[in-house]
Amino acid sequence: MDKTNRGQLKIQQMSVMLIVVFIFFIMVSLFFLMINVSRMNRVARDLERDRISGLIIKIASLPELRFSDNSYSLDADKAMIIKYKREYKEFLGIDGIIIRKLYPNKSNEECTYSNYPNCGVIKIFTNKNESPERGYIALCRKEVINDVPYDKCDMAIVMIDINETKYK
Amino acid sequence: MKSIRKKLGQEEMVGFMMIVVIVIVIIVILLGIYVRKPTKVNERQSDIIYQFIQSLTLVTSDCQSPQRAYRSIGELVKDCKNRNMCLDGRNSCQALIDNLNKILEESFIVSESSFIKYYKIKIFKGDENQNRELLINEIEKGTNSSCLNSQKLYNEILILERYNQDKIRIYFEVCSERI
Repeated sequence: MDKTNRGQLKIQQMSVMLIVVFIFFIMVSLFFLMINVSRMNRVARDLERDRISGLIIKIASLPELRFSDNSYSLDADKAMIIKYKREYKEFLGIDGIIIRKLYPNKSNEECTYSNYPNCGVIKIFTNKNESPERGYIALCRKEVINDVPYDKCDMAIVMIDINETKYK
Repeated sequence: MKSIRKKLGQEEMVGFMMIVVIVIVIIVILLGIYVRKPTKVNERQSDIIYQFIQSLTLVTSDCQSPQRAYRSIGELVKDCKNRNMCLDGRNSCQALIDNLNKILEESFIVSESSFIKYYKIKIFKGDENQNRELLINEIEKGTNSSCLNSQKLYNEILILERYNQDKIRIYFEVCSERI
C-alpha cells in the first residue's frame, strides 16, 4: 500500500513537472510569435507604402496626365481638363485624385476654371480633402516670361482615393 | 530509512532549483537580446523618398538663367557645381540652399506635434562610396536622436551631366513615425 502511494506521488510529481515545462515552452513560443508578428506587420506596412508609391508613378506616367516625358511630374493643365470629364474615372480605375500644392504658395483653395492657376488643391472625381494613399510629385505647366517659355513646376502631394478591394 | 528518504527529497529539491535557475538565466539572456535590438535605428530605403527627390529636382527655383528662364532645382545643382551665377547676381549654390530650405520646410513640417521628427539632405559629387565631396552644406532640421523612436526612410538619386562623366548625388533622409 505504502509502495503504491509513493508510486502515485512520483507520477503526480512527474505530471506537474511536464505541465510546467509544457507551459514554459508555450510561453516562449508565444513570445517569439509576438516578435515575428510585429515584424511582419512592419514589413506589410512598408510594402503597402511602396505599392502606393508605384500606383502614383503609374498614374503620373499616363499620357493623359504626364508632363513632358517625366514620370515624376503631373501636368496641371491636363489635370484641370480631366477634372471635368467624368468618363476618365472609369479609364483611370480609381475613385478620385487629390493634388495639393505644397510649394510655393500653399493654399487650401480648390481649383476651378475661374481661379486656376492661383489656387492650391485640384480635386478630380472626389470631394474628399485627404486620403492616406499619398506620394510626392512635381505639378507642372508651361509658362512664358519675356517671350521665353519655361516649365513652371511646383512641389505637390498627390493623394489617391481608391477602392481598396479593387487594388489588393 | 527516514534519513535516506529525507536526503532523496533534498536532492530532488536541488535538482528542481537548478532547473529553475537555468530557465531564469535563459529568459534573462533572451530578454537582453530583445531589449537591446530596438536601440538600433529602424531604417530602410524608401520609394516615397526616391519619388520625393526626383520631384524635387523638377521644382522651379527663383534663380533665373542669363537667358531669363527660371532654373529647376536639378539644373541649379549643376549650376552650383559649375559655379554659375543667377541673373540677379546671386551665387547659384546660395540660391540652391535658399530654395531647398523653403521647399523642405513646406513639404516636411518638423515639430513636436508632427509625425516627422527629422530630415537631412546632402548633395555631393563623386563616386558611389569614395571621393565624395559635398557641393553645399548639409541641410537638416530636427534632432537626429529622435530617429531612435521612429523609422528612418532614406534614398538617393544620381544626376549625370550631359557633357562630362561627373556624377552628382542627392541623398535625403527623413525620420518619421508615419509618412
